Amino acid sequence: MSRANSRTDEAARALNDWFASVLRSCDPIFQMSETSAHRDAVVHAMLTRNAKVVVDSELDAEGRLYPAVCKALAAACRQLQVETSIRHWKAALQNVLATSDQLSRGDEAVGLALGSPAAVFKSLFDEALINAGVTDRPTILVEENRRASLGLAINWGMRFLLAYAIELSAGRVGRREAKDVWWIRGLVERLRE
Amino acid sequence: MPITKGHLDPRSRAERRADEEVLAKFEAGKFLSFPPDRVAAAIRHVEQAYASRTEGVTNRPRWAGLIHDAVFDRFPAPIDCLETVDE
Repeated sequence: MSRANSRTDEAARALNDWFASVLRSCDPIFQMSETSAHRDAVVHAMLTRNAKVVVDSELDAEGRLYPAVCKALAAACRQLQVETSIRHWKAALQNVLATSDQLSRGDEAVGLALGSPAAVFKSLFDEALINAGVTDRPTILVEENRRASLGLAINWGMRFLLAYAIELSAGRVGRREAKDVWWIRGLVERLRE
Repeated sequence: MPITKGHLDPRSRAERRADEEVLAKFEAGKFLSFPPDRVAAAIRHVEQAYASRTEGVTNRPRWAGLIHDAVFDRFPAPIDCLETVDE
């Protein structure tokens, strides 16, 4: 295994552990009701509430979207009963790093404003959330397609979070002990060196 | 132009006659009168336009969920939507 591959593996493991802790932080809210119907309703409310915040918000460089993205991802995972793995995070890391590299070499001559990697992944994340029917915008998809779209929203949301983190303002830093969006930024930045 | 006291009526003869005709029709209750069939047709037109708009709004929820997009068939289970790497 190459050194770069090993570092990517370590970062993917750290991200998977971090996301498991995000889920553990949200679980007391997801499980606060006695009946399963109410617990499902809480998960769905958390998903729709934060999906709407994400879709209605512009990209920023201060990390303001971080809480809504994390809560939407956590609720989507619980709603679909899927768990991310190290391999999923490794694929996301490789995807984001490759996309950043490709977009930085963009051809201005054709006049297409593709946007930054975070903008590209946000547009995919937004569209998947809308198609999944978890925002206040209409979807025309049948139920099984909506579930697949929500699964894709998790896929794009993971990538958006990583790309968003590396595009934050360089001047600001988070709390040293916190594993927040600034921690993610540091983790991904080290892979680009 | 307003007609002010102490001035001559600025209206032309044709304008004066037109004003008198309108006043006479108004006093006779015939001003802006339309045949009953044209009034009924106008009412029908407005009611139909309103009904079609209302139907569009009330049926909108029924349109939702109609489209099956084959793109999503490639992801049979939600976990398949998450891209992974080969070990």
